[in-house]
Amino acid sequence: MKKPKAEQVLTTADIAKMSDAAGIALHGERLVQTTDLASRFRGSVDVIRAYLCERQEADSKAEKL
Amino acid sequence: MSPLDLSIIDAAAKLRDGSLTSVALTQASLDRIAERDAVYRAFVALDAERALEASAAADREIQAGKDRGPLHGIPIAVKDLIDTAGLRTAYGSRIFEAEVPKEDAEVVRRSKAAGAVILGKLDTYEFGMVGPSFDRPFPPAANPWRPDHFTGGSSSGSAAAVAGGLVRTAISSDTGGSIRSPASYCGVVGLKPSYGTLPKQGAYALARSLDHLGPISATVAEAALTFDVLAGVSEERVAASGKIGRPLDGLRIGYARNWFARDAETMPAIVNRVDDAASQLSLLGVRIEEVELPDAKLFEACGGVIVHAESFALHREQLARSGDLYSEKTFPYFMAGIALDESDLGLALKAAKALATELDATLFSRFDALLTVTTCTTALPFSDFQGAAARWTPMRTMAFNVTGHPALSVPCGFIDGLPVGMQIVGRHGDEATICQIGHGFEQSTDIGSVKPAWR
Repeated sequence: MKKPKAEQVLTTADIAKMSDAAGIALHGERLVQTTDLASRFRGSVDVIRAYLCERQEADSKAEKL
Repeated sequence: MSPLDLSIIDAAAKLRDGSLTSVALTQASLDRIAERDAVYRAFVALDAERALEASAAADREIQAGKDRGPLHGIPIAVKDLIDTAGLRTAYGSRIFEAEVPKEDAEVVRRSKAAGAVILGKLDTYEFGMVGPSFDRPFPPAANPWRPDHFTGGSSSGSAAAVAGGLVRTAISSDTGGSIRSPASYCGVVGLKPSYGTLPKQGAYALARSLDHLGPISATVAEAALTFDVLAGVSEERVAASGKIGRPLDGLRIGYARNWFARDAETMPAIVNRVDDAASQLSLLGVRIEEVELPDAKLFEACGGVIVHAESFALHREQLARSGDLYSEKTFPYFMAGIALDESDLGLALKAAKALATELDATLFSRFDALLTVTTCTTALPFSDFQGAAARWTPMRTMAFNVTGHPALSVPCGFIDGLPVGMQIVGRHGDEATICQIGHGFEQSTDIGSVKPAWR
């Protein structure tokens, strides 16, 4: 697995585009809150990638030993 | 003494020796609901007529010598995320305000087959996601210890009903702590069994990879018995109640203290209460050793991605069709999954599996159980949850939805009159040992005998 790179922070425009494509009405406070949460979960994906990467490295070292 | 103060075990004995009837027990529950539930708001639907019919039928069977087991003739209630045939099941949402399922969920079917009397449906956060919300058809359930405080969720009504003495046990669900956190905040017992143990047919899914069904009950023994009835007995499965009452001498517990004590959001007094509980367990002969776990934020990252990717997929069409009917707090939590795709979900599921393997290898190979906190604070006042945005409260529950290990929340003390819960986590499939430990602790203190005052 490649080392994780930082995810791009999502903007309200990004989320509005995704919701339009999904046919879901989204604007105002709901759009702002959804964007904040979606950015947080993208950050969570970074945390998960870093963990899997660490494990893979540890497993590789153990195999070499 | 009200028959509602009897445990299920004691009530069952009285039903069989003829000194109590199921009708009297059920009527006592209905009377107490009528008296108190305007304050607790635990029930969102009552089924009084059918409950009394079912209790009369249970009395006839018991008198005729037909014994369906420990829940026969016992009044129970069901979280409103779980279908009940002929009884409104709204999933906590305006969208399903008039929904009446045609069929029972499998756990409800099993409880009825075991002779349990279903009193009604208990409040839930909308679709089990977040709360408390004030723009749903049902005002949020109140904490019986202090009714201007929240209960935690999503099994808000289940914890309120049991803490408030309306029922002794309730069937609930847990995707990230929805059984254990309200149990902790309300001073009752919550058992999230091993992943996949109880059937989920007829329960509204939040995130299928993390959803668990289980009981919230007044005591550990009652939670274990309820679980055993719902799970069914088999040669492969040791009953959760199978080790209740056995001494704890020689059991080994890993105490994940730093996992919550070093978190700035944890109330220091909670650390003291769980430390006291660990000391008490050691007095009972348990060998306690501090252990380190992977960062709680890692488990929460995995759980968060899984919940939001899976729940968005489940709700996508409904969000497009009826998005305006979701509560203001719930809607963004379902929508946020739009930014996650299948590969993100795949990574999170892979990490979840790796974390479960890591705990098995490093912890459960050396210890019979793990001890930690359930919630890092006591219940908060409703005033902290005003406004459209949800407020997340710190807890240590999601980790064991991610890994699937069974976890039990047991009251371990009070802070300023509000209860605190500790969490006992076991090996996969070993509900029996965590119930043995929880029961042993419960019996060695008087914490469980303290009940919320009714005015």
